[in-house]
Amino acid sequence: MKNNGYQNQYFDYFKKISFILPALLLLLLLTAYPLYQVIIMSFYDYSNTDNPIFAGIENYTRFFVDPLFWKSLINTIIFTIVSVAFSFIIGMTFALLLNQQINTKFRAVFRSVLIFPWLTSSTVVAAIFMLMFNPFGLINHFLSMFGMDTLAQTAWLGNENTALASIIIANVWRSFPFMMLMLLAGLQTIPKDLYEAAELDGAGFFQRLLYITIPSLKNIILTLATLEFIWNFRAFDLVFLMTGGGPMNSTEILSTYIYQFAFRKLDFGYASATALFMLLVMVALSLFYVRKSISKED
Amino acid sequence: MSKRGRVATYLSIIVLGSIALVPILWMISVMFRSNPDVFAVPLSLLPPEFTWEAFAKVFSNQDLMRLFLNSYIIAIAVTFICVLFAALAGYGFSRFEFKGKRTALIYILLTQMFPMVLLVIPYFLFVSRVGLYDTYWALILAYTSFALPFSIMMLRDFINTIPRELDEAAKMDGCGPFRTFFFIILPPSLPGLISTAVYTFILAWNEFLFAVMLTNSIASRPLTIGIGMLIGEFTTEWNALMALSFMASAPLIIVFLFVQKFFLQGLTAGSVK
Repeated sequence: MKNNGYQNQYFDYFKKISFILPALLLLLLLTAYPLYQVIIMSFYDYSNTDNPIFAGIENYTRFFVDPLFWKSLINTIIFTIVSVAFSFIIGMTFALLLNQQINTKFRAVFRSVLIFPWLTSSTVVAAIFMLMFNPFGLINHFLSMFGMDTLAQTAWLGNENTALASIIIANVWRSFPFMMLMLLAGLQTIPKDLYEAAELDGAGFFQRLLYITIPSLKNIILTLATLEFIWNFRAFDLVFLMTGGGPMNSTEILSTYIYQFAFRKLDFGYASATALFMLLVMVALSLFYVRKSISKED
Repeated sequence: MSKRGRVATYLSIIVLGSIALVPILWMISVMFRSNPDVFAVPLSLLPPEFTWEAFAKVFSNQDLMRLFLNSYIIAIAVTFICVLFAALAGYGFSRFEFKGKRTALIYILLTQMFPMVLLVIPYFLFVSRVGLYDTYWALILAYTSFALPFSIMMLRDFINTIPRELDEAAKMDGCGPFRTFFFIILPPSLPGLISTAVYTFILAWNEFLFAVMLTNSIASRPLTIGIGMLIGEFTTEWNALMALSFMASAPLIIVFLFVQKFFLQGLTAGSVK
């Protein structure tokens, strides 16, 4: 080596990280700096917007005593769990059906059109489902066709008892295709002879599902569940557009709750503290995904 | 599979698939109706009277046409920046060992968990302060920060599937890491690049919250806001809203149908193992 070893070592290091540096710097600028600002803001009282005063941990103690915060948290959990569960069940059903030995053209057509819901924006989904859930809309038409006339009077999004469920339906409709795609790709990697052997042993459909399919897809199911969990836990658009958190706060979720405080009441300090709490919950619950994505290194 | 089983499979796919597509079919049905016919009784999937009225309404609205243009500009810019940066980073993470790599990866994964509503507060303050409020750049930067983490992971996983022997051979021939990247890694990464591009484009095209908060005028607002505003007006014009929804979704669907084979390959390269 002609070069000074030291210099060479640094040059080498720089060359290696030069590929990730642009992305990393951009991300740090666009996420780390805002995060730092939110942390600082969460310690200030913004009741006088132009001149915030230091408030210590006051913002962090406030949300624990706000009943609406707890309601939003519970709604967020319900929204997340029910959405993930149903989009998994529906996605898995379609994946299993499309993985059968069927005409390849037929499969390709259905696989393509069933992805459409995933390609529509949240505003489009909100518009379509608001039209369908309208008191005079498609859903109520169907219900009265089957003779359920009292039920067919329901204003699905205007009723405290049905609003959240209605939004969840719209949300599931938009998220099942992604599940279906990934699960279908996973199913295609399972060797056929596993099933043949099981069939010879007399295993029925559910036994094969339980003992072959699901264990083989364990990794992909866990990754999907975590991703969907993250995406749903921080969802905002559908609730904001379809009900704005109402009626009577029955669809208030954490994101819309934080939005109210930040942009309606201009209480940036409290909104930041609550958003950080939300981030902590998400990080804690998605450690698995982080660990798995990292371990692919080895 | 028995013949009976096969028939049952086909039937289930057709029936369940049709149910799943009802919202889209309904959108298409309503966009060809006149507004009084939107809730017409008796119910039928075909419009009682077929009309292009709703499309005429949308096309005659200059503001909405401008929103389309804005959406294209923003989404294409985000896609370009994101794919470029993510490809470089994906290669870096896939092929090199260096100090701090693990930390960098963990950080990138963590940024995927940031609630949007957490970031929107400082972004709003930031773009107002530096004079980017209500510009394309405000949204381009924001969307890049959302799309970049997942794109990097996706491309890293994809490049991991390209045999390292190719790198070795290039090295033997005297290629440095940059030339290896451009001539050896990029060409076979095409499916990965396409799926990253599609993912990013969809994300940028469909985003709503930041568009509401960071832009304010017709000159920079994307199309999602146009639809959001029509919803906000407490919709008396459902047919126009559905026509606009259809026009907003059609570009993504067309692009997707063209590249879907690559997209599936790229998306599942890493996660299906």
